[in-house]
Amino acid sequence: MAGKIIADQIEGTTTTETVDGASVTIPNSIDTKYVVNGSAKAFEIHDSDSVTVIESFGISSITDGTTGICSPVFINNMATPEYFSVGSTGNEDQSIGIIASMRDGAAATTSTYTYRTINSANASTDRDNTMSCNHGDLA
Amino acid sequence: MQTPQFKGTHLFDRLCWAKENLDGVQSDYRVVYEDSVDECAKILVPDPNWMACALQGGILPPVWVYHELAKDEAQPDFKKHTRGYLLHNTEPVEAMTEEEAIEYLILKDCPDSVWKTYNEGNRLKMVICRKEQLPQTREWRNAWKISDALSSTDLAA
Repeated sequence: MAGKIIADQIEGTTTTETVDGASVTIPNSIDTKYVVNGSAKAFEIHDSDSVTVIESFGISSITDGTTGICSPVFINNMATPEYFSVGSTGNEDQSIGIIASMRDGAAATTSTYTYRTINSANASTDRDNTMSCNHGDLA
Repeated sequence: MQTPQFKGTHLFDRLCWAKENLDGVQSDYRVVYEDSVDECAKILVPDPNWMACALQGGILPPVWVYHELAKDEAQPDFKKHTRGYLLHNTEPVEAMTEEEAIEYLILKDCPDSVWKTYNEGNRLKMVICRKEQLPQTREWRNAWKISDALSSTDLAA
C-alpha cells in the first residue's frame, strides 16, 4: 500500500563521544530539506561506443557530439545553470578514461550540459561505461 | 497500467513513479543533425525511460513548456527559473506513438536553429534514421556528415 511520510526533520539516536578527554554530544538530526536538496536529480550511464543508454533517471536524450563528446538533456530543467555535475568513465578491459571537461565547449544551461572523455594520451575517446550525475535545485 | 492523475504533481515525482512502474523502451530511431558547417554530424539518442513515459502518456509536460523556459533563460538578466511551475502544473501530454515521441524530442532537445530550417538550405541539416543505418563502427566519427544524396523527398517517401 502506498504511503506518505511528511516530516521536517530526520533524527537518529544522539551519541556521546569523548574528544580530548571531554564528553561531546554528537547531534544526529537533519532537516529533510537538506536530504531532498542534496539528492541527485538526474543521472545517466551510456555506452559511448554504440551510444546506447544503459541506465538513467531524469534524462530525455543524449546527443553524441563526436568522439568523446556527449550532451545529456534533462526532463526536469534545473533551476539555474549553476548545478553540480560529476562524471566517470571506463572500459571493463580497464582502459583508462577520464572525464576531462564537464562544461565542454560551452557553459551548461538549465536543460543540458556537455562533457568530454579523454584517454591517457589526452585525446578524446569513447568508452563502454560513461556516466554522469547531477545535483542542484530543480526548476 | 493506468497513469495516475498527475496534473499538479511535481515532474520529479512523476518521473519517480515512471521509474518504479514502467520498463524502459530502447528506441531504434536516431536523429542525425548538423548545427555547424564546421562540425561533424551529431546523433541524438532517445532515453529509454523517457521513451517509456512518452508511450505511456500522462507524465510529460507539453513541449511548449520547455520552449517557454528556454525563452526565459535566453533573457540577458536570467538568474533562475521562476516559471518552473509550468513543468508541474500544466496538463501532461497524452500517450504518443514512438514516431510522435521522436518528433516531440526533436522539438525539445535539438537546437531550434536546426529543426526550424532543417530543409531550407542547399542540403539537409537533419534526418531521422534507424540505428542500423548509422555507420557500424565509430571509425572516422569526427568526419561523419549527412549524405548529400539525401533530399527532403527521401524523407517524405
